[in-house]
Amino acid sequence: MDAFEAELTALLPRLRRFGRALARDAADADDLVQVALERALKARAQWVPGTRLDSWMLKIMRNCWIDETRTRSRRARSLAPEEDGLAVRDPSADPEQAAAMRDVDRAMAALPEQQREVIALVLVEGLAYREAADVLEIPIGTLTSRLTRGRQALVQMLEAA
Amino acid sequence: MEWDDELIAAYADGELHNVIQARFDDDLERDDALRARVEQEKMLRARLGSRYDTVINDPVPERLRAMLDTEPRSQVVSIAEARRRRLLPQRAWIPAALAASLAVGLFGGQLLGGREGGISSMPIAGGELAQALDTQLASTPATVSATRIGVTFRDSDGRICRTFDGAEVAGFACRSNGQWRLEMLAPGSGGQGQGYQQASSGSLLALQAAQERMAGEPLDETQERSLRDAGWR
Repeated sequence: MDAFEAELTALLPRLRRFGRALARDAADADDLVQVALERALKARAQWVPGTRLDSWMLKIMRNCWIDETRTRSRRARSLAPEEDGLAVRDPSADPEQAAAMRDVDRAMAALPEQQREVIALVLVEGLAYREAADVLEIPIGTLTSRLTRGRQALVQMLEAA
Repeated sequence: MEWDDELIAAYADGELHNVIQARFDDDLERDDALRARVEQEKMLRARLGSRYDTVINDPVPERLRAMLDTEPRSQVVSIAEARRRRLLPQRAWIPAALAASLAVGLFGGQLLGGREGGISSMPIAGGELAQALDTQLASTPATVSATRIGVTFRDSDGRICRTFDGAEVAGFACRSNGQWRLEMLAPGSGGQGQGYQQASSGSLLALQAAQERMAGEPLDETQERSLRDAGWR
């Protein structure tokens, strides 16, 4: 394993977390990480050593996710009901905690894509506004307004839950 | 003043500009409603955190880990070792039959002389080959010359050695008394025409043999260039 691969390996837990925040369920999230890793390994020559690998990788993941959601909406999957795949997890977990997790999953899943990705980058991954704006290639003003709208929607949904 | 949602969020995110941070802090002390709104932002962050941070501690699925573990059979022990592996063909890349032929010399790739045979008895490179060894860098495109240079390295005696691959012959030569002495020869790429891209089996044999002889790691392009410019001394 070379340095690049070792650094990516160290990032895996974070990438899975980001995937979990973007995608509807755990299996989709890990599939997304896998597709993004494939793309990253092919494009590794484009990464400039000394720059942040996490931002580079989050950007690839986010772009893979956009591609995936476009493909899915073209396919117009009508099979899976809205609630399918949400929050299937360890039955041994505290039921109250499991319910809280489900609420968050549901609220995130209900956000428009553009708001969900800024919430995932800033509030889940802890990126600075500037870093998140660079990952998404949008102006800071656009980022902060999406962030504010996403937050308001989440707070409303979670209060109602 | 009236703080809007975006500024409150920025405050909670630690992104408020220095200039207004102090004013916000002042207002926060006086204004219960503002404090409640900041609390709400922090609560949201905490709820998201307690949901998604659980993923951080989950075991990473093997299928993801395995994608990044391209050399499971050996551990890279140092940067120098990693670099050496990058520059040299792996043993595993050489087909088994070819590797076997290296051992018995069927391909005609043979080490010339031996430690005991005496260096002076070895043939000396001349003509086009000597010129390529003298002047070419490994980065020179194959189209420029019939002979391509592989790696440059020092052997355990400190001599400068270079592998080469040509239409007729591949091998490696080491610098001795101002001349390139041929240490190992193998069939070349067989004159597959100008600009051949594939390394010949002979060149792989040469690299393999060179690897055994190499002291330390292959020289990088800067070292190669400066040695060339100094006349390989």
